Amino acid sequence: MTIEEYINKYYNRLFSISPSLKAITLARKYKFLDYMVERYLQTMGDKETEEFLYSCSFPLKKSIRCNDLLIDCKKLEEKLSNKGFELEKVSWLRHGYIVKSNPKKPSLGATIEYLSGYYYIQGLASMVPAYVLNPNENDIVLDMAAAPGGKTTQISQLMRNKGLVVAVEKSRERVKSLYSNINRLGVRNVILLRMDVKNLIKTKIQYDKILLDAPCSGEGLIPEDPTRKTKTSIEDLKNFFINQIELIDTAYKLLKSGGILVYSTCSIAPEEDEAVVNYLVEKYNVKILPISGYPSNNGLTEYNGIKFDESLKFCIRFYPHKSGTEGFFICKIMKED
Amino acid sequence: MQNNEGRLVITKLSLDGVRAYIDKIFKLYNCENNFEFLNDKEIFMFTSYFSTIQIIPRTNKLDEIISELGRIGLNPYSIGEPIIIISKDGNIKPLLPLSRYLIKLCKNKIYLSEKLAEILTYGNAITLREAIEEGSYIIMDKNDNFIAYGIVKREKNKTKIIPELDIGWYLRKGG
Repeated sequence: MTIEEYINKYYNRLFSISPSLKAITLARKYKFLDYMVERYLQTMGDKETEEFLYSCSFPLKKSIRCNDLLIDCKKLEEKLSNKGFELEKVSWLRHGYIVKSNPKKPSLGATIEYLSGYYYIQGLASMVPAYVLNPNENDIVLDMAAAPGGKTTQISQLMRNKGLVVAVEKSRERVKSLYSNINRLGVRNVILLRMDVKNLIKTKIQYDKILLDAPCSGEGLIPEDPTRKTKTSIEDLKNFFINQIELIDTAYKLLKSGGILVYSTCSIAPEEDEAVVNYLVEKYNVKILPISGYPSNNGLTEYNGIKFDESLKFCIRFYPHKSGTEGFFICKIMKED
Repeated sequence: MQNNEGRLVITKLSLDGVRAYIDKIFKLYNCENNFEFLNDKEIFMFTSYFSTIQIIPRTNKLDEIISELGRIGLNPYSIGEPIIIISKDGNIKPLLPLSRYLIKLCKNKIYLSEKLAEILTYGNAITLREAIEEGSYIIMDKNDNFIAYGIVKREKNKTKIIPELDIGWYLRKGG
């Protein structure tokens, strides 16, 4: 099946959403687009949808990832506490902390400790993909959409600056922040490429592990950025979907046999998540691997009348009203012989 | 070292090839002549309108990846840590990642209170009452954090510390 054939097979059903009266009423109340709320009603049910919509009105607590390449995390806790930051260790994240309270000055992103690379300001759920990828010191890892570098630097941290990370970013502007963060955090093992990652197919390089944190609508970031309640039209969503399918197809081709691909988005839209991974499952010989140890929900196996492969339940979803994190989707995929 | 076409050329340097550049920096900051931090590294020079020297831990796949990228006409944006910049007129300056190695090797260091250090992170100069010999220094805060590469100048009875490159760069320019 080609990408075009897959898109044609599901396109119309995936993007044909007729909002119910209930969806329209809730959308007006919480200032979302109608089609978005109809999706939530379909995937979460009435009661949970309202809990979710309500939770999106409140910003999430800031969180940081301690960079133990440069500092012992206990020392960082102490240093930030001396400056008036109250940190709480997140039990399910090795290097994750919630910032429970902060002083008026300095801001979290302007302390000497921040500038020294001792921590990275990062959403809790966004720390999970690198742990799921679980890179080791001998791996050659590809980060396909790397800016601004939170996950790239975390991958290098987990590899203790050994092995090799190839980090790719297409945007001329965004590559600057990626470069800056790599250097700030004391990362040493990254080859940084500014290019369309699809061009890597022309090389003979195959990767042990690949992270595709795909460019997306950011529908999971609504608590942080309320403009996203109305930002993404169905047409925009279609464009994200097509790009994501092309990227995941590229990822498969660049992955070694037996290698691991982690696909993630900061979106809870099934069109950008399960529908994309389902393409890979239908087309290639891949296996979805279970992910455990996180306060998350299972991936969807059905949406808008479309049945996805059963194994997609092994993917995980984060929601603000359930786990107190940004909305996020993560799937761990193994390329089989 | 530079080319005038703006076309990026990447070449591999040997340890001997990079010594001359590092020597100048070692002299500038009064450092121990110790090149051990380069032992397990591959060294690259990126040359365009200006040049940078970049280092990365040696791995067996590195050469293959660089040469495969070259085969399809792709040059990396960076390889590992950029440590030195060489301007068109041959001026050699250390970049921020090199500080993590230099702080262990160099004697020209000034320790400042966190309050004064913070001023430098905005790219602003500070003035002190105490006398410090003129020259190039590595500026640290009292908690042993690297803050800036700075120049010390005497002005009447005071000492002025002018940051040449400080960690605030990451916010101001890094994005």
